[in-house]
Amino acid sequence: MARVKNWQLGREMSYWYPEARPQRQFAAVFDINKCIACQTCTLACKTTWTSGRGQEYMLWNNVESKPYGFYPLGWDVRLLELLGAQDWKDGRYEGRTLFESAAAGERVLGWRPEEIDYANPNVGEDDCAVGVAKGAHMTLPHMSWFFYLARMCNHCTYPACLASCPRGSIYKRPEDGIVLVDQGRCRGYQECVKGCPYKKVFFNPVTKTSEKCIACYPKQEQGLAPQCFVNCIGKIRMSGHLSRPDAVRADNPIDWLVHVKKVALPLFPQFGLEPNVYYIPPVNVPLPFLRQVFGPGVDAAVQAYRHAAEDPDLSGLLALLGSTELIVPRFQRRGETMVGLGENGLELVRVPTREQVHVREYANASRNVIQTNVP
Amino acid sequence: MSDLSRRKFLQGISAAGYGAFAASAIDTWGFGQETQNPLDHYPNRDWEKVYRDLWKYDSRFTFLCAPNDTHNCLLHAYVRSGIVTRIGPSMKYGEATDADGKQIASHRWDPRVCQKGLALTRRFYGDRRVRHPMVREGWKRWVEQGFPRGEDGLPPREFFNRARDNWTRVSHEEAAALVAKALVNIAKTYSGEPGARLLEKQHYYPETIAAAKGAGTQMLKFRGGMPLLGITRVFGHYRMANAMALLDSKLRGVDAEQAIGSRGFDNYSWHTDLPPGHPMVTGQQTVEFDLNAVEHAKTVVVWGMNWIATKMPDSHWLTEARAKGTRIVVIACEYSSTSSKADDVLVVRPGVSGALATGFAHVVMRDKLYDADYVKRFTDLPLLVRMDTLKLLRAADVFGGELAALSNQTRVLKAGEKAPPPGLQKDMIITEEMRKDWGDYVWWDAGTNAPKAITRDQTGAQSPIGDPQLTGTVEVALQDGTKVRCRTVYDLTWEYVAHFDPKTTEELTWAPAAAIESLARRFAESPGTTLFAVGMGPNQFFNNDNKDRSIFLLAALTGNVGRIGGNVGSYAGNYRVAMFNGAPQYINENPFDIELDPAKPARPRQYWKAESAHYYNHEDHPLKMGETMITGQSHMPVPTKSMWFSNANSILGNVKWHYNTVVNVLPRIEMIAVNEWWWTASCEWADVVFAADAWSEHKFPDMTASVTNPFLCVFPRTPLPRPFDTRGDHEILALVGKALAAETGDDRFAKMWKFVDDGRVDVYLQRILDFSSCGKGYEFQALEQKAKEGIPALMMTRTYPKAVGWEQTSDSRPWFTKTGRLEFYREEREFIEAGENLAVHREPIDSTFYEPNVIVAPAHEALRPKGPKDYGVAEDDLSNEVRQARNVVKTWSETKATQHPLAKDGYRFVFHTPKYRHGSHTTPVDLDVIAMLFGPFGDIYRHDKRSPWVSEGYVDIHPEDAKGLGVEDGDYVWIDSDPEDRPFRGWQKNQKDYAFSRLICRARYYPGTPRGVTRMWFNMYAATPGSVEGHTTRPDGIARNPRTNYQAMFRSGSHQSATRGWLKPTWMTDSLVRKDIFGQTIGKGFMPDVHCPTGAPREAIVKISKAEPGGLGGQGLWRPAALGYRPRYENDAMKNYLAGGFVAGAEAQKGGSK
Amino acid sequence: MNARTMIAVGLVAALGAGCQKPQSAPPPQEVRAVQVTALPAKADDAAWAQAPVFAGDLKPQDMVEPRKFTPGARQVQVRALTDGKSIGFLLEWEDGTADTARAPGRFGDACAVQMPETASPDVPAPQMGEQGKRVAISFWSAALQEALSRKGDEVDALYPNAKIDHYPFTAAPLEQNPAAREAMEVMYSPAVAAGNIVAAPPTKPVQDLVAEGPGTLAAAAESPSNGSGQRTGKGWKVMLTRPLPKGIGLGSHGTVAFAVWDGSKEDAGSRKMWVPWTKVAVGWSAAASH
Repeated sequence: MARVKNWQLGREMSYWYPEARPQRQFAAVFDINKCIACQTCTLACKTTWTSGRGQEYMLWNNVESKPYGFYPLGWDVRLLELLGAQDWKDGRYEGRTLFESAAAGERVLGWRPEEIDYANPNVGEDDCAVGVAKGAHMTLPHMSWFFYLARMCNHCTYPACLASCPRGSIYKRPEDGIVLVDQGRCRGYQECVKGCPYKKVFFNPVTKTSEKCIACYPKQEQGLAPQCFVNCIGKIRMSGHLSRPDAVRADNPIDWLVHVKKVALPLFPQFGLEPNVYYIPPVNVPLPFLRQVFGPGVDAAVQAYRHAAEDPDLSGLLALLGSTELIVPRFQRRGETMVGLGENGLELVRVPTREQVHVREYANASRNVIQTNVP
Repeated sequence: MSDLSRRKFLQGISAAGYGAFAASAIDTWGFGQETQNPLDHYPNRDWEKVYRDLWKYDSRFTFLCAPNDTHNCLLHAYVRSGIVTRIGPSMKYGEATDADGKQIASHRWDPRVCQKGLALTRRFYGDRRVRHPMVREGWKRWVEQGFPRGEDGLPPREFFNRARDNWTRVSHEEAAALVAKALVNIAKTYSGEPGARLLEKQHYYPETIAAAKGAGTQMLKFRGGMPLLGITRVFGHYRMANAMALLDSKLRGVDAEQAIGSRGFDNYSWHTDLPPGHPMVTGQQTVEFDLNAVEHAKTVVVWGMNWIATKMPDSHWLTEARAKGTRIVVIACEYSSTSSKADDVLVVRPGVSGALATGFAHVVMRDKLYDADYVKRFTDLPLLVRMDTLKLLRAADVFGGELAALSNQTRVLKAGEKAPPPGLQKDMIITEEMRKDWGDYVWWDAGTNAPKAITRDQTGAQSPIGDPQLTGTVEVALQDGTKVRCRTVYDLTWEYVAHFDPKTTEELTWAPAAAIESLARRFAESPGTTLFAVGMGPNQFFNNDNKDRSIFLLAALTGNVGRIGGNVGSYAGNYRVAMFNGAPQYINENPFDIELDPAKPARPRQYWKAESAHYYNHEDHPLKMGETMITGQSHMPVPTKSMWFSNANSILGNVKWHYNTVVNVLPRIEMIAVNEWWWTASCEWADVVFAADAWSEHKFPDMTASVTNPFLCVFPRTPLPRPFDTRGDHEILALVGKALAAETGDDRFAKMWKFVDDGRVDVYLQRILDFSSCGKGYEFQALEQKAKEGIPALMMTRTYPKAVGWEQTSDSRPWFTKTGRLEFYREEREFIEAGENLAVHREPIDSTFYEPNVIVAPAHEALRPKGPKDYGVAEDDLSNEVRQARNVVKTWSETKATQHPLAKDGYRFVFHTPKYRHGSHTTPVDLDVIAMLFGPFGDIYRHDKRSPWVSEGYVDIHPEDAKGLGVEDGDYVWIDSDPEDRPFRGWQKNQKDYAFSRLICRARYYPGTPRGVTRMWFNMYAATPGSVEGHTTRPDGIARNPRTNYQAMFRSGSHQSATRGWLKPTWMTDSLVRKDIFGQTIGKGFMPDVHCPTGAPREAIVKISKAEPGGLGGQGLWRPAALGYRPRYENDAMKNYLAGGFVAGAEAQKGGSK
Repeated sequence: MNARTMIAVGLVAALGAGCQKPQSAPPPQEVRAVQVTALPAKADDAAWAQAPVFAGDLKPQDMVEPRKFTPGARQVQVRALTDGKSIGFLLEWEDGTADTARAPGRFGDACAVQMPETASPDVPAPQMGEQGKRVAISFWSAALQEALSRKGDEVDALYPNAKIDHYPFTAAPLEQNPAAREAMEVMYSPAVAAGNIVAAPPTKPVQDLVAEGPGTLAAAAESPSNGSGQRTGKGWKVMLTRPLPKGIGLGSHGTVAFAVWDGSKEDAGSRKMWVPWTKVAVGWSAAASH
């Protein structure tokens, strides 16, 4: 075990390998308040990467309704139960990570789902906590609530799958930090399936190897966002690269949302993997649950989001999300317009923060018709 | 499935360029490197090319995905080895331009796609694909044996073993010939006097026989399902219905003047999508706005609409508006997915939207918060109503004199004058006769304390109403010297609304009184900034027109009709085919005078008649109360003897009251033909199934548009070779045209489709564009070229975003009503007799815990309905037929003391069937990858073989209600509705059909629905005789018809086991004034998709009883519940998780308040 | 992870094995491969009876993470025969459950015989060999053997009620183009496309593997090993045959190690019970030893 820095925990922690950050780290922001659970991301991934034999049950990307939705069944509750209640203090994690809780002879604290735990991948769909009995009026946060959690591999800075593999067949690409299982060398021991707390590595019973999200590297190598981003019709997703806290670029949309505005937070940071998918927490959900899932940054993030209307950069950026299939490394607000720029400063996409109103004349002389809304 | 052979494996190795991988692995990997750090180095990454190769594609083309969901997505199809292997969005909606070359819509409209569209590859190639034409063997024998018939004209039963019979593959030409023969024979059989005699022997209502006027062709019903979705391909069925006038001419020997075509079923109203109260208030089809309008509102009320689940590609407008400060209010009878995005969530009782709107209006009127200027300029509230006749007071009766000449964008047609084609009309067009009939109106000037005349011209800026007396009674002296007591519409309305104080409204609707007070104030606070987006939920109740009229009242009082940021919208289905109001150029081309010159326009003449399919759905008869015919003459149906439809599963497979329709109505129909590309329940019950092209295979282009977005979309021709023996819908129509020509010797049947045969349907499409007010100026071929790149065009409507009423509010263009104003008073006889001359609340006709369909009202001077006794019907007769025209008034305190007649027998649950994210209607819910995510019971590997498919229908029920029934989460339950007629009339004596009709499904503990309210999603495929046979005989238990592969998602029955067809008198008047469907002409009475029955498919009260335990193979608890991860079954960890108990101290960093 | 300590431990164990004096009293402390003219083809061949039983003590693998914690069978009984070119082993051990499927969360029973690839005085570390000192492994898997006897693939076997709508390579138009169809099927099986031996449809229930230390296991260039297994009342009886390592012939001594995996205990990779290096007398005959 080595000592490594995990900024999400505000401290050092132990990890199987020494710290080695990629030149660039693939990262993403998901605005849960915009997620509609349409599963288009799920199908975009499935129809592209997991349409083969043995992959039928496999959802590299899935969307589940929290709190009663799980894929696989109980994935986070079971692990939290193993880990036990842990503490944060002043934004610093005082508890034990999954690496620090590993039993002697194990590399990570984990559990391995049974195959039937992957059945009912949308169990809990739209099931709310608390519930309603008759009529009701709710304001924020709702007394009865659920939210949609879109999940993919977090391409963690400290992947538990990578640490768990006794063959060293899982690696992180130095150029973009994408975590891959070498399909030529994996022997299907399923140590990674057990080790990944997010349960985003899957055993293929036909090929006998474990498979996982590849962050669509063949697309990213061409400057294109991954399938689950381009196909996101809730327009909740922004993909890009995250800088270290000490090298933030304020015009990088991911940096701005994560490091500057601090409105996007990691999923279960207490696990210690430094996951690289960041979530804007749902404002309809009571804070105690959110703190357990997204850590101590939640209160401030929810406040910031509820006041987004007062921050044209934030509300404008939320309108820019998903309007192009290109990766947008830089952004700029020009009055009522949001512009996405390439590294070279060239314009990639531009959208109005508020869609325009256009009125045509009533009688159109050239076409000799009336232009009416009631034809 | 076959395993990869060793050969293939080695092939794979070489394909990946890994010759002798195994041997070289050691050296390339290099032993001894296992101590290195895979965070920063990996020895051999050549294998990565495996996924790069999987990403590659040979070619790409564009097709349009347009089920009936209003989204119209141009999708890219990615081809590998000739197969469409995956699908994606075009991302080019932001490049759309309008006819003036302007780019107005931004890339925020991208992407347009959804999970269902991405899964379509499985529907292009899957095993339920209709791969070639099929004919049912028994029916084929009936045709080939020369149509044997009994003395009553009915075919012998042995030929009509539908849904259990075998099928034969035939060629398209054979199928067309069989259909042509049958159409001719059926029309011939029921033509003239002999035909009428036979129909009498078959016990059809005499009124319906008379309505056919002796033309056998009238008994042939055609339906292009949602023709807006294929303005030539689908709408072509009506062109065919028009061409049938040729057949009538031949059979009855009548000339082109007397010839009558066939009947065409309605669409928007058939789907219960039409909000029937909109024309009652505004005189035209529907008020709505493009969904991007929400960015310009301060408040958006999402009312009985599950926007997040059913308007998926446009959900971001709602969430993005919210992030910019728009307040989202969601009103629903549950905590819905849309509620989770709301700032205010209101949970209410189902079917009471009208009462809730009235409760809001109460606060606005009580506290005088209304927008007085708007009320005076745009509504009939200041107008006077005579208390003697309950009619609006006419100016002529008070002041005498001539009618005012109308000049405000209105043209009165002299007798014999012809109106220009719809798309070229500018002013509103009224006949002189109607103008006379309407007269002018009277308001009372409080300043001069005298009556004043007002014409329908005088709206908006032209309104003279300054200081009207709104309340109290006035005595008005008439020309004839008599005095008549009058009250304003406002006064009568307030007398009614006063009954709905917040406390009463809370009792009736369950909406907390405090919320009613505060939200009403919010709506009134700043007029013109609240959008009411009303969904399909409230519209699927019997009181749907009352609901519309009450919501419009609230909206008008708060100045929220006809503005970009303040309006009413109805969101159900796609419609306003009038965006192509040049369509008559195609559908009504005169079959006796066909234009074969591509450069010239057609000379339309309509020979076909429209009919509401709800009469077919109502056991093929209109509504009578006692001996009184309630259905208006202009609506009168004729007997249904043949049905041919395309692009529609709703007319049969997923029809309301499905099981009654297939068991009791179908046996009297002699031909059912379907154009399909996927084997639906409609195909199961058909006689002929034409194999149609999928969207990806279109060889003939087409065109569509939407009411929720601004785009004009073309279905482009695609380069993909047809994988199966299919034809385009155009070609199928043309083939039958040729067969009819052969059968009748009349070549005009074939000529009707000349430009299909020439591969030039663009000629028809261009004619439509040239005569459409929103499409004129576009070249079709240019539009298709853009579509091939994934770029749509923009509809040339007045505003972007579209906002119906904008011209009325901003240009003072009168509404399409008698008064030119938004009308909250209906003076016509039918409305007065129904007790609905005012916007009242009726209890749901079945989905209520109280006496069904009672008018909840105080004793009111203007409410004088015609009660059961007046019709010679017993006051206490609550049978379902009688219930429909039962006009009984009760106050709320009287109503709440009543109960549903079946309550005593345990029918205690409202059962409603909304639509969900996993299907656009039924498309494509049965695909495995879609179904596995549809609800909590999805399981791609089917661990429990009782499951009919990889997912299955389920009922959402409140946990405490389920406990009360001894039902556990995940158990199978029986759901039964009114035994009088559901699942079908006569089930008690027909076990054979009951076996596939009775609904069994899973029960899910669902905390988000109130006690007493249960929900089942609308989208899943119903059980048929064949699916039940498969389920009970296949070793794997899959509910699939062994003869057709039809895949049901229920073990037996479906959500339609509990519904029935309903007819409401106010849907069927002859007197309601409304704009025609196309253009600016105003008429009255029946108009398909405008003033027409809608049915009420969300009306069902049910009994629920446990059938089987939910555990694997029927043993014990369903696993997720047993393990403690389900509501009410939580294990300790789950309890701790819900409380957020797994971290402490995390709030240390919190900012702001909780 | 620390390879050095592991190797050290391995050497100790190896020396231990090397220093053992053969005891005359049974059970023998070495594996004795009796010379025969031809090696048997089946695990229940009577010929195995002529070989003396070596009772190997199985220990949980606890040198390398991830380690084995829940002990499995305590003993493996080994018989050996040789024809002078190849050597065959018959392994018998107790295992109450036959685990023949590999699926998410499910593991298969297996066993392996490991020998140094080349005979040399200082044997490689017993746990998968060490850098520069390669070990050759013959690996038998119940799942491989099951797959050989099965029609259809694992999905059919694991989920009898499943019916999958569609795979891109099953689209009807490809029926006319088998080559394209097969290429596409390979494309949608990444491990196959990458040429991974574990994804290969088996032609026999045995794989030939080589390693130079933990985590280095790889497919051997050649696959001469063979074998077959069967259930006994109490567990498995598996025979494995392979060529004698270079430098080992009749009359000489070699070194061999054994391992067994119990699927029901989630054994896989280094989670196994094993017997470290043991001496094997090649061509031993009862007469010669007296």
